[in-house]
Amino acid sequence: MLALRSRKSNKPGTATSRLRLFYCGDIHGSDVCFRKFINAGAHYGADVLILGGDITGKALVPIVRLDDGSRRGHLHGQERLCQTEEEVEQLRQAIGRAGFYPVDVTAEEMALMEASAEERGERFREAMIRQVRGWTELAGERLRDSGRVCLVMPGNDDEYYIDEHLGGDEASIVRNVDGAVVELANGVEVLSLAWSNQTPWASAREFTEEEIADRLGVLTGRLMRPESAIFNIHVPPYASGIDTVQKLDADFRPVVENGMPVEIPAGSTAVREAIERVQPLLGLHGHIHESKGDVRIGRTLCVNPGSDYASGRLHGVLLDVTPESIERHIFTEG
Amino acid sequence: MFVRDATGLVRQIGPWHALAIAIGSINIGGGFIAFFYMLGVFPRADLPVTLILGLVASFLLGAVYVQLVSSMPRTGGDYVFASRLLHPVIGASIGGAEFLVFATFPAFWAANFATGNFQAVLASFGQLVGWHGLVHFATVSIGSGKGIFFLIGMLVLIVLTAAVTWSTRLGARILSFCFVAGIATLLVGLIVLATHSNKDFVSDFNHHYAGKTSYAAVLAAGRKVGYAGGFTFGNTLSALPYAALLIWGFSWAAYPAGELRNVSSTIKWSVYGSASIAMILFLVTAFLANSVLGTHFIGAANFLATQHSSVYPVPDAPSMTLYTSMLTSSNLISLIINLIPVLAEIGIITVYLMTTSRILFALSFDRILPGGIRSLSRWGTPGVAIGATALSIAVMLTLAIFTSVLTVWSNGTLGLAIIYVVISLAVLSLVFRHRQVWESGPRTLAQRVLGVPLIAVVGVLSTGFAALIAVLAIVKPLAIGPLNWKSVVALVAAFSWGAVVYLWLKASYKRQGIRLDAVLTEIPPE
Repeated sequence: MLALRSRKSNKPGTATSRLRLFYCGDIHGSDVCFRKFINAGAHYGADVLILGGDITGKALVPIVRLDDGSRRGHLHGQERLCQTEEEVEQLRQAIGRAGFYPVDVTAEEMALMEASAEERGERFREAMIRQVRGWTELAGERLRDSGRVCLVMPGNDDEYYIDEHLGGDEASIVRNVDGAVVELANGVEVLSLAWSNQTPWASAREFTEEEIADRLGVLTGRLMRPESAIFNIHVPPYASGIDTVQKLDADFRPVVENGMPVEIPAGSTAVREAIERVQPLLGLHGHIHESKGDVRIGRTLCVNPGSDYASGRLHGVLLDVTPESIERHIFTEG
Repeated sequence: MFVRDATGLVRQIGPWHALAIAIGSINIGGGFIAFFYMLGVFPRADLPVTLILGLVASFLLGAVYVQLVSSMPRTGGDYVFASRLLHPVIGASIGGAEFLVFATFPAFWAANFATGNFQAVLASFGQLVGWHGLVHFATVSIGSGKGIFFLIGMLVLIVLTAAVTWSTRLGARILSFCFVAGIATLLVGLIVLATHSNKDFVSDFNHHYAGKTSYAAVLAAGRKVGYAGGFTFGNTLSALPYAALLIWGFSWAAYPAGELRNVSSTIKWSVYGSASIAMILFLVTAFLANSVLGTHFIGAANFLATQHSSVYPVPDAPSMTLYTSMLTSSNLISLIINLIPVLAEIGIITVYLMTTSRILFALSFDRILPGGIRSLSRWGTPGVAIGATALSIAVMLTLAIFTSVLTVWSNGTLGLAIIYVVISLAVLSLVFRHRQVWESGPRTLAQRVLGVPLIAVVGVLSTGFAALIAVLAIVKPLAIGPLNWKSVVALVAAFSWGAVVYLWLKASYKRQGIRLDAVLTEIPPE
């Protein structure tokens, strides 16, 4: 059990034991969203910042050097031709803001990337580690004297190799809390898990419902006060209304019936079962970007702030938390 | 672009599916009857010209919506665009007004369903199958009592509310059926019109009302009260918002937009394609109505019925379906023609029940409405939001049938123009004040004209168009409806309640240490 200091060192169970939490997730490589996340404490007056997984981007966007010296890239299905270095830099920034990784390549390197999965994988690895390292350093600089607590964890879309770069130990400003139970200054415990149930994409951290249930069983066993705990679990509970996705066919195309996309629940039954069994104070979830919402499962408030990272707008939720209750919560769009 | 194994990387909805979603949201069948209302208010509007100008205007507005939805795909909607891109108070004002408008529109259509169209279908079905009791019930027993109209309107509202609360898929099926059947019945109506001449209609009309009135009597009555025929540019222009209303819904295909798809091209295809197809059908309808029924006759009949009902010489209100039915002696074709407005009305009520929850959700997420609005039913549908919408429609339906209170909404056109102005300004704000958001997402019309992005030029033109309509509504009150103190108060109240609630909440949250304006505004990234 790790105790965390927050700006307010209140005693649990008293009227002054309220902490203000800001939670968001699924920023998927968006540099502007991460910068907004670390500034959210000052903007909203939050004591604790939690980034709930799926931190890294999903796509590499090559900027190819052409024979005439110009560069060409594609963003959102549109070709961008750059004649000057300034235009190239603007394109790089636009790619970064959308959550993608710009890579400068020659035509030969582009051909190699097209032909080799290993080459693409290595490019992804370099880009993701570079970005996560940079973010951790930036957060350290910005939050060092703020007194704010910053908890982060990966999500199912994040490769394992970023973990060692994602925050440090107890003394670090930014803490990677995946698979741990930590205690906030008001005595509220935060249980964190990055795993998700299985998806059609076979992403990095997918497990069977049985494996998730086993893991949650171990973690919940470490809770001292489960009734005042927070479950920071990337995947939302099954059929909760905050896990609704478009049904896809075998080619990953949305199934449309009667002129409307068909929607289905995609959350985890193991997470739902754990919430129903333990009945913590709060469930913080992400994973399903289009399913922003809040719902009560028994006494547990479960929230998913959704994500619109590609637009650079940071969706989050602000919560005033005491060991006894969630006094208020409000969704934010920064 | 190279992607890795990560969730959410769905392929785009194909252009045909996107087009189907958009065109399914446009009330194609409603266009067959709606322009009669337009002519009632603007009797000297040149219908085809209005529709063509409306198409141009809708393309401007469509371009605005394409950009806004492409930039903010997850939580789109006028309320969100206005509150995030302009100011939270403006958003609350727009959201509040739209909620009232969205409750009033389906109430009017439910009232139309209850006060005539439903009975017409029953009567023509009775005639088709030789069930004289049903014909008598529809034409005599139901009568014209407001109580029975209210019951019929409420019945259809309750049935549709139950259906969409039970299953979103069932709601979609109802919409799909109304769309397909509506297109089929509309084509039958158009074929009937296309195979007859004005001479046929005059003869059939005179025969239908033999001993009561005549085609010539309608034209004469119109002349007596000042309807001179012909078109005026003012009326033609003033009718533009109605033309735009006919294709309302053309941007809705954008809402299922997701990640990494070729959003902008798909959305463009669906918005412009659906608007064009709908407008072609409306133009064909208008052309056939003008040539077969007679331009002056339609103008005079609607002008008399709407603005001089005491001297209107015909026992029935002007009706496209009634006039078209007169041209056929087939009971089956009569039934099909009478189904056009009924299918349209059922479709409209269903669309609003299913989509108004989007506004309620957005207002609720921002705490302007209670959080309970977002509760899901046991079937996983947004039951409370649908129920709240249905309740609002029921209240408006009650007012529409039993009172004349809703005439204060006669300046709804002005309200619509104001919303269009705000949305057009929002795209300018996106390009210039929220440049990062614009540049991050798919950009449409990004080409530059004299150094200015084309989308900004379109935004200015769209703002100008909407402002022109607003000015026309104010300076031409006779054409747009009575601009009296009641209608002004109604309009101000509609646009104020959301803003008042927001300001009250802002003060309340401030006492709790939360800055509500900060919650809705951008966090400085640097």
